[in-house]
Amino acid sequence: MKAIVTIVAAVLVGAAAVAICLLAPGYYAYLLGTLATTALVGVGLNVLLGLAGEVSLGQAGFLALGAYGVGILTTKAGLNFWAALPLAVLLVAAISAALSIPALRVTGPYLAMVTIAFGFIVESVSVEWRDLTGGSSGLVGIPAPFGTGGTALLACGLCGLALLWFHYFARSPLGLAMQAIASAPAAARGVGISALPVRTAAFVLAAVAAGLAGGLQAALTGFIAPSSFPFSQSILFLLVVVVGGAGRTLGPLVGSAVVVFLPEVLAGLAEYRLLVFGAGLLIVLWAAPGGIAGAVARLLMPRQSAPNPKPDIDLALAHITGARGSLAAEGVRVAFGGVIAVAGVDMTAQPGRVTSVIGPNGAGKTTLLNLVSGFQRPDSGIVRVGGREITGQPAHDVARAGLARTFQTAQPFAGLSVLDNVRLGLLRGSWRGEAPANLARALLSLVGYSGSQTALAATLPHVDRRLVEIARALGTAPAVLLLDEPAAGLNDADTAKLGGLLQRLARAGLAVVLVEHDMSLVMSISDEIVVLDAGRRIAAGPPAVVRNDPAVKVAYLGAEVPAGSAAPRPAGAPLLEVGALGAGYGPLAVLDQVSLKVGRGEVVALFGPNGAGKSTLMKALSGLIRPVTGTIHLGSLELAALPAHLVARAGLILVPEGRQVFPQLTVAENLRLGATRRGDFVSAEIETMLVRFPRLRPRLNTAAGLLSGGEQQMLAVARGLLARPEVLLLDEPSLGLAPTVVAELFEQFTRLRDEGMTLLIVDQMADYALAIADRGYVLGGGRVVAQGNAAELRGAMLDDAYLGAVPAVVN
Amino acid sequence: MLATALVSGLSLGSIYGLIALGFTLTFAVSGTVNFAQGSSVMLGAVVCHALAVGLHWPMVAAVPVALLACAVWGLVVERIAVRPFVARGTNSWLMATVALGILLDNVVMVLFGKEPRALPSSLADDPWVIGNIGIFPLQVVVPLVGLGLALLVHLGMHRTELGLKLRAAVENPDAARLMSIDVTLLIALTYAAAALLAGIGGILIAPVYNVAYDMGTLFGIKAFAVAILGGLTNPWGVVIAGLGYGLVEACATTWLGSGSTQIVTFSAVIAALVLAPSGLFGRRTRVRV
Amino acid sequence: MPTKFTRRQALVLPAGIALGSLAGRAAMAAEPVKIGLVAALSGASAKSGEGITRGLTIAIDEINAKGGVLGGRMLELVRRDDESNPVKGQTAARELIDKEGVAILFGGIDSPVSLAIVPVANAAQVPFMGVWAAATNITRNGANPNFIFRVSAVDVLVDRALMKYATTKFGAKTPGLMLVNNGWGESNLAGLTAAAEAAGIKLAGAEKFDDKDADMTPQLQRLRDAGADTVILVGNAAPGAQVIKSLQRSAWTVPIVSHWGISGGRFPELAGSWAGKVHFIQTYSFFGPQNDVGKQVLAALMKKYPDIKGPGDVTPPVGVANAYDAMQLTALAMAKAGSTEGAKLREGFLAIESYQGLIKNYTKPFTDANHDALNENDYVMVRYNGDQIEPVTG
Repeated sequence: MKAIVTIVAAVLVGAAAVAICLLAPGYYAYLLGTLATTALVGVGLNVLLGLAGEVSLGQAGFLALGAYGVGILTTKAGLNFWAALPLAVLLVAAISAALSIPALRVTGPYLAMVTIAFGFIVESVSVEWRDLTGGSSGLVGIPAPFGTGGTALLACGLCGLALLWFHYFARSPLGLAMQAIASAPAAARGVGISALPVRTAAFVLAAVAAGLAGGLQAALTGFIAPSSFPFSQSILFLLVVVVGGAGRTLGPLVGSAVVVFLPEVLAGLAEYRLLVFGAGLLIVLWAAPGGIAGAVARLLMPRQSAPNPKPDIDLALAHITGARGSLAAEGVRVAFGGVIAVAGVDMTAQPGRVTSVIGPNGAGKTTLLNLVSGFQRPDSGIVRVGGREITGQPAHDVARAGLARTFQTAQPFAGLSVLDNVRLGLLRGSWRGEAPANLARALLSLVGYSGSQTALAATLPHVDRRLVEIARALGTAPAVLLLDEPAAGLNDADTAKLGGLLQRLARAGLAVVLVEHDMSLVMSISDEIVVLDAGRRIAAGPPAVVRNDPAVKVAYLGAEVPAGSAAPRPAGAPLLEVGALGAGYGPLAVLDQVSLKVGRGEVVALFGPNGAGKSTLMKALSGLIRPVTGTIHLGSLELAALPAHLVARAGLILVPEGRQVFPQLTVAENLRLGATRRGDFVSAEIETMLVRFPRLRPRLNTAAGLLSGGEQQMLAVARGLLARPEVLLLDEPSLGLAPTVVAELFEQFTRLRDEGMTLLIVDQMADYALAIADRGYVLGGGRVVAQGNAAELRGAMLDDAYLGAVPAVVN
Repeated sequence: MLATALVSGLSLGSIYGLIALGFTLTFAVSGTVNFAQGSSVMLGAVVCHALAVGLHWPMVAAVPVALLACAVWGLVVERIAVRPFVARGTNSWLMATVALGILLDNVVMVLFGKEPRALPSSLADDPWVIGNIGIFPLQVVVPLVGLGLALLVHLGMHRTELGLKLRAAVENPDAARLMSIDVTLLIALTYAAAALLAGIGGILIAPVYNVAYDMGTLFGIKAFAVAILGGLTNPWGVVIAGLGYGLVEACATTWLGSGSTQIVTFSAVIAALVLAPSGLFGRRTRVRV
Repeated sequence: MPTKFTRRQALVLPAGIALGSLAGRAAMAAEPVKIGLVAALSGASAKSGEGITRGLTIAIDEINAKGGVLGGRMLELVRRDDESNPVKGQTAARELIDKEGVAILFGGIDSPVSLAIVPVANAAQVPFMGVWAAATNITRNGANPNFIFRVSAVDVLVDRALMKYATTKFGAKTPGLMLVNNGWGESNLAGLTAAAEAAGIKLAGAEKFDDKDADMTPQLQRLRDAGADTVILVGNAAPGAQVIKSLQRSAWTVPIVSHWGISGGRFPELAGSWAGKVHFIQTYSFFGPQNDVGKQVLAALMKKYPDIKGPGDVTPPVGVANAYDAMQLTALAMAKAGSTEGAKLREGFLAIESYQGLIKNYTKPFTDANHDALNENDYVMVRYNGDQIEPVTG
């Protein structure tokens, strides 16, 4: 039905164009021809901007090249139009390919600048090369193949073909690859797409379309001069695409209609025309953010998903059992600016087995994953997939060699449909070739995805994003599948399903490598576990062995367990009261109805495994995540609706995870910034902090980025204290610090406690935290699963929470 | 010949640098720029002309009011053409700032007139002549003011509380928020400052150049090239790139002829970006997975 | 909202156009006669478009006050902005011809725009009247029949006059050229090179500048080093003033002879104290003793436009004067033709015997061989004295 309407509409529009060109061959035909050439440039730019996501402000340059090509070949070389046009387009293709060498080394505003420069160079050369181009006076008498009406019709016809071509191109392997690179470059490499050739293709296609339009325009106007291709024209072309709707097939046509007809409608305004034009553009940009075509499409065509044929899971299983091979890393090592992130790690993942990599935060797990999958180059060591060495090869080659991966934050190609996401996996970066929809459906079915297959990945709930990402990875028919925290943000039921899926994949013969914080999942499905700490392998073996390894316990819970708990103290009046707080990141809901209280002068600790939502809670409290549901009361103030800087001004101060010092500012400047919330800072206060943290004294005028981790953490705490907080939130202060430094740090926290500071602390060194806490809460899956005083919380319960059993509810 | 090229190159180059400094300020904090920065150049010159010549105000009064107008304009640009689009997560701010620039240019055309006007200045009437070359006093003043302002911006960034907050926001906006710094307000302020710097550029260039409603376009483009060359986030890099651009431009005209100026300068821009893809003085942004 | 073709509109449109043009023809007798103008109304040359508009308006008001043309049809001016872009100019010309049905098109300052319109006007058989753009091949375009006329300077003739003036007045042996970087500058480069050859002298060099260039000292330095003893300037007021300022800055006291472009704006204001050093060519000056037409036009301008308080405010005088005379000649041609139909109107232009105009007394202004109403005898050399243009004496 929809197809018929589209065809009828296209035929009607085409007939109207023919009628106008033949019946009114003057101004209206010319205008239509201008519309068609403008739309043609727009179609090309839509490939570059709408699909590949790059901005060019030099399309007028390519337009000029095409026009001069035709103009020169016809008037100087005596060719006829039909011979001149293809030659001119070929010339534009060659020049744009040459330009892409410097242009595509850069991206974003830098690429925009290269294209701007190119446009100006073309303009200057066309003025200067007088013998060939006729200089500023231009070329007169360019022959047209037909009269104005016929030439306009030719332009309309080619424009129509271009629009049709775009419709299919956007769904072709190459078109999909462009969109993949634009929407998630790393994930695109992960499915074997090599970015540079794809981006070059987009750049050249955009130029070719502009060149073709230029050749047609030369024939249509019969005259060209450098002033026909001003810089403002390039901006107009960009407007054509943006106003029409980037990435939409009909976007350039709609955009051209606005850009070509609007000024004509306004022609009577004479000198006021541009004024109204500028205002009109602003309104369109403001009112239709997805372009006019996008807005209309949303109004007219709600996405409906057709009933799918029942997928054949065997097809999917056959697809993924094709390749077999192990992953082997030997002595892989990498350092970033002197910090050794991975220090010579060996690991093997055998086909048919689930191999998990675990370790505390900062242990180097994700870095290891990046090293073996080609996203980072190891300084030394060897990586093999199925016996073939892939060390140091770029990610897209590693992917083609049979290693697929998913990402810590799921990276589906947001602007593409679920099905196209998986088809891109099937294509493995190939520009042609088959990506059968039934196989893609089968893979989706295999991973347990049951939602709409035509839905855009951007609209999916979190769990479905994970599944689509896994299906996409399986599409590449990998021997090795790497998964980076796939269970993060999933509820228990979904996590259990995921576990089942991974075991099934292993049984199908894949080498499954899992980096995961959810210990119950890891312990239940792994055949082999590798434990990392501080970039080194500290243990390896089956789950039962690893679980009881003392070194692992130390890594997770801290080595020197301080004696006992602090003496119980009377609780102060409630200062911070959190009620039914809900928060998350976009589609990912993390916190669910979290309520807690902190009394004045009280020290409260938050526990829970990684991914339980502790840091999210800290960010939500401090205003870094907005909007949130529920209430956050600080005394009588309601903070839930306030942005971060006002929360801080109210006196709720967060010392964030990872310290977040300002690396290029000096220690003194960092400290000074801490006091921003108060108007009464005096520099003598810095001295009090130096007394508290003597290690900072010699470093006072050093850039904070040069400090050691421990010093940075002390700086972050001191910076927070200078705000004279009502409540100080400490998020993972001991993360990645040496034991002696941790001890020193907690000594200070004890002092703060004794001074009456109200503290809410999250720390994986549970025993340290318990030692100073009056009370604590345990989070699991974004909810409060337990609470109580320090003594009640201490014990096996915590071990279980961290190392993989369901915590019991105390109290 | 060299002396002539040096004089005009340095004088124009420092203006480019000044305007480009505005790009740097806003880009560092917000990752956005006003693509119609040239319109702010024009606004400064036009308002100054309207007050000083049209209403016969003394310069000491006209200049601050003109600059105030520029600052207000910067706030308007940020509020109307940048913030709503950034909030939506699109990069349509690029087009929106262009559209707003077209709007301003044409409103000024209607109000101010189409004809270029002169902004007389005693500093640009009687040249100092040394041998074969002459210099308007203003041409000496311009680079000095340009460098002085760059120094002022530098000092402002490093010696004032606002500058400290700004640098904090540049390095880590979220952490800055945690220090109770209103980053949104800071972004608006950088837009005001950017327009202000452009306005100063416009007023400085007006007596040697002319005042016209469309005078800003080319300055805006060249300044953008300079900002890109300087690495977008490095203020001193941008100032140096501005002087370099001005010199290359003047030298190309002097030795190769005016026809080749744009070919040489823009080819140099492309070549420079090939050699240093993040600009000559820019820091490479690390790719994170 | 912008016009978009809906399906229905797209179908109805062609039919509507056909009907509309039929109806248009039937109703013509009562309709006003539309006069089209395609000129730069915005951008750097906007002032020129305004000058032409004023000249045309004064002439049209005068003609309409006397009862219009062709037995009572009023003239109506329809203006379009070409933004100095040939493509936009051609679009506007087509629109005026096909949609507005203008009887004649007037052109603006930019030669490339006029060159783009020439084939359209010839193909549509609608006369095109150039009142400013001076490129030689606008009127000498090879078309037969040629529908292009001009009441303005012709570069080749102007260039010959400029060169002659430079050699006789200043004894120039090696003049250097400063040319605006567009079609007009190029047209003059050819003309001046030929004129120098004819005069048997060598050019020191030819330098170009852009309308937006802020500093022309490097170009001037090149000419100076090449031994130029006179500078011949071709450019509009604002960039022309930049050249003078750059000359002043380089303290190079060289004689300057200029094409008339500099009179298209507030040159004396922009160029500062050296403005008076420039000797330039004009077709007409509103200063000094005026003929009757001059007095009358000046009075009409002052009455119509409050910002004109004296001859100094008639800027640019060339545009105003050329447009005024061209419009009056057009009315005469219409009377001769007895029609507004293009081919007849063309014959009408060729049939004009004489006209007592603002610039001069025209006698047989247009012939088959010559579509330029002005020639080298109609130029005067003038210079600024303060805001006033006065003839150069001695």
